[in-house]
Amino acid sequence: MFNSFKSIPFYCYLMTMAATIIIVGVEWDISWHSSIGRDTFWSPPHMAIYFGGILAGLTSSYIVLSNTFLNNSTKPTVTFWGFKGPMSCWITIWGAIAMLTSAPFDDWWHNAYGLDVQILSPPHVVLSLGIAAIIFGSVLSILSEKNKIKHKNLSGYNILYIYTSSLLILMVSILLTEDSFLNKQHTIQFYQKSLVLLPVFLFALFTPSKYKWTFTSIAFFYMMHRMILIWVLPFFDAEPMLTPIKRHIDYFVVPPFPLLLIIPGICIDYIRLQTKNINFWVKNLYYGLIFSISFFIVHWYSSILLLSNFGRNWFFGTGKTIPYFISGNKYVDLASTDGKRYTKVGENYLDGSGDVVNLINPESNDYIFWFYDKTSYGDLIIMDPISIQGLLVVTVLCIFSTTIGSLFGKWLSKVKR
Amino acid sequence: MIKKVGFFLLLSFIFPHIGIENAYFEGNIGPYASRIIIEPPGIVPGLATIRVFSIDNKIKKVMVRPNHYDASIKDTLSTFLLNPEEANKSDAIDNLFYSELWLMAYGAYGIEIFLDGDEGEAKITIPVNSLSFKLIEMSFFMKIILFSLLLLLYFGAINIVSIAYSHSTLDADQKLTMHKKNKIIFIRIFATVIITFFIYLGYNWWLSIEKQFIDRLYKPYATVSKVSGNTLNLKIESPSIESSWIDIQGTIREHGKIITEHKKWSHIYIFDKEKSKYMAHIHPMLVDDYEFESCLPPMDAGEYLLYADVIHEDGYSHSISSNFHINSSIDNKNYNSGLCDKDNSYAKLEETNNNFTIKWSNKKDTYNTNDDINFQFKILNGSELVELDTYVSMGSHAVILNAEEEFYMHLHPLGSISMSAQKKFMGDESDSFICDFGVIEDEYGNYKVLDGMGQISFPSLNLKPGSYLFYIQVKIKETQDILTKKFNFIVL
Repeated sequence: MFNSFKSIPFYCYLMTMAATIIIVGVEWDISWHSSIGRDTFWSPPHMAIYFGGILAGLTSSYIVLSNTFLNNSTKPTVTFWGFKGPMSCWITIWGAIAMLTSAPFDDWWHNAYGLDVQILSPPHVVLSLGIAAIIFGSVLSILSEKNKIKHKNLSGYNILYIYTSSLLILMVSILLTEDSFLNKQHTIQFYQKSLVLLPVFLFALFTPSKYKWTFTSIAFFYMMHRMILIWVLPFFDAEPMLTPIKRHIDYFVVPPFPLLLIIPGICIDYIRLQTKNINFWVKNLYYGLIFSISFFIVHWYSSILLLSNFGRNWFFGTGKTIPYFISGNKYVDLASTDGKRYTKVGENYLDGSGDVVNLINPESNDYIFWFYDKTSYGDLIIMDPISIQGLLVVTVLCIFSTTIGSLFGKWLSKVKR
Repeated sequence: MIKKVGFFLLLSFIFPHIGIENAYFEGNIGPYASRIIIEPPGIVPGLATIRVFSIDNKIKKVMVRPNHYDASIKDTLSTFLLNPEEANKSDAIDNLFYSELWLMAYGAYGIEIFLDGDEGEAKITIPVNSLSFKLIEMSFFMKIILFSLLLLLYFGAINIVSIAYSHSTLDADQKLTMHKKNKIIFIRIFATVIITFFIYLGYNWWLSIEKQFIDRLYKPYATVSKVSGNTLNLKIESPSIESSWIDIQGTIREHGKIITEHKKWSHIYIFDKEKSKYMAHIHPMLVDDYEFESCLPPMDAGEYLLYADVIHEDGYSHSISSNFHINSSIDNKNYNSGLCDKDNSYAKLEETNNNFTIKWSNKKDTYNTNDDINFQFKILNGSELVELDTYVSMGSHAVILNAEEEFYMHLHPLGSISMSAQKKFMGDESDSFICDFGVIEDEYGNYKVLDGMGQISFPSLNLKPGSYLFYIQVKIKETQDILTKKFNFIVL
């Protein structure tokens, strides 16, 4: 097994290391913004992200320049505007340029529209595309090397491929963070976004691997990343440095509990074993259907369980995921209010500032389902509860996304340059 | 882009900066004579600039912290305060301490300033509004950089898709087939369409965020003013009290009830259309949540312009403006007696008082934008300084307008801040306050070495280029006359 690791080109390791540093930096940065709030360009998470981007960009550039000018490589490459290099390096370089682009764009954005307190903004999406491209570059570097090798022990390649794939899934799940809080897992929006976006990446990465438990393993690595952060981050002290502060926090806020992809993963891996000789399109119909049903059932019930006392501990992290700027344990003296200022949205009562008020139990706002969201400018977004019709539409979209992902995976399984 | 620029210009015209400029304070804070200038960021969330000048050079250390009304006024169990942070001491200006603070949310903030020196510790809170009132255009240089990078990424992505299809799956010794070669053009077109479509989606998303931001831009509340007989009715548009919080967002009702400033529900300044002949300073009754009524003093028929200062229970202070027309002249002799407010006053600016004069010391006709404009006045009877009385708890009142009516500031010797908002943040519910640098009862203390009574000083200001009008009011102790005078100056 160790010999198979030795045969992997060194640049693949550097790319994997860069992808890991970036993704840890991103998770750390989100926790920083949720716990401390204030940062600078030079904050440690930013440095981690930029270091990862520079490492990936320089590694790829070196490979391209050496292939183009030193001509000392016999490996097949693709030619891009006169330069020669592996496909993975071109995608990584594109990602590094996108990350570079996002920096002045984000700075201007903050000056023009204020400091964003949300993960998703146009400059952050440019940054995310860059990061996703770099991580995808690391996946492709391993896959293309693996696709060139025949009749050899591929376990090292498989492990590295599954690991880097899990980083890409983690990146996608970070983009879904704001809709993935346990408290929002009974809204249709959570299922719409998750079941449309995730299958494209999951099935693209699942298809090229012949390993029996590919989906399950990717899900396992993805979940372990998040779980380690949930276990480790609270050990570090943090203090909010921006006001208004709406809850007491003296630790680094943890990311939401990972999506339980391992259960749909086991289902999909099992289905693949059972449907080896079935037509591609029919197989994807099964995949999409099974994935959406299993994903829905698992998250509907797991969110109930994790929001209960069962999840409120160091292992699951429920209660430690909500940033300092979201109000939580608000106490309301019923005797001094006339009740008219509260608006009922789903199961929640919102007060004059749009903050959740629980009229009975002041401690429970963190542990109930939310059916609303707010934009960074304070506008209310009403989220819809689950309906049969809504789920049917999501399932159809999920099948479509699954098929797109699998088609993309078919190309990935052939990449050799 | 032309559309955006046009819209920006329109906003500048429609939404003048009335009562939302920098916060100025000048006075004794404990044993320390200080001048404080807070420049709100103009964008939320954004960085406010805090400058503290130690006038008597006694301050050794300054700490600052922002405090949102949510934390101080509501005082719920779920709100917490930041730890104060130390302001930097300027290397260039000996007595200046400066700091920047993030104002993360919309609404009223109290900036707490802690002073320390040989004479012990002292503290003050300066209320400021956290509002968005700037729409920043991207610079040409930034446009060129970002557009160049966009083109690089755009054509780079199309090329990546193209070679991914054509060459990436070939073995080392394998050549591109004719069939694939012919299809590359279609792949390029397909990639171009898809990538362009995503850029289009991104652009629309950007526009929708910008719209949310523009919707939250500061604009004075719509106000209707009507005159019936001797009475002015002023009504600020607001949703019903029964409305849900969703419907009150962006309206005056989101700031809660109106509170008094120096025991007055509002301070209304009325000017003739040219702002050169007539000025009245009146104080209305509050007849509904956001509706005022006031006695009008004597005034001729014609067009008038009014500005009214309003303070809310959440510490938010703002000004509204309105125009009204009077068909026939009003001759209300009881405008400051009976049910009318006793502190109502008016002045015909072209008439001169034979006994008393107000002199602006060292006044210039023109100033530069970086100049500190000093507002120091002497009130004389002939060549003798006269003793002043307080007028609406103040040694003096001043109003600064610019000729285009885009700028309005109500100023006191203490500065431009609302004292009621300040007291809200400081947890002081009393409404008694005297502010003056010419009378003995001054609560913040008279730190300036003035030649006895009859002198008034306002904090120095830096103003943007424009043509300005400055109106000052003082009350003569002996005669109880209220003197009003207008000055003109230009900032280049």
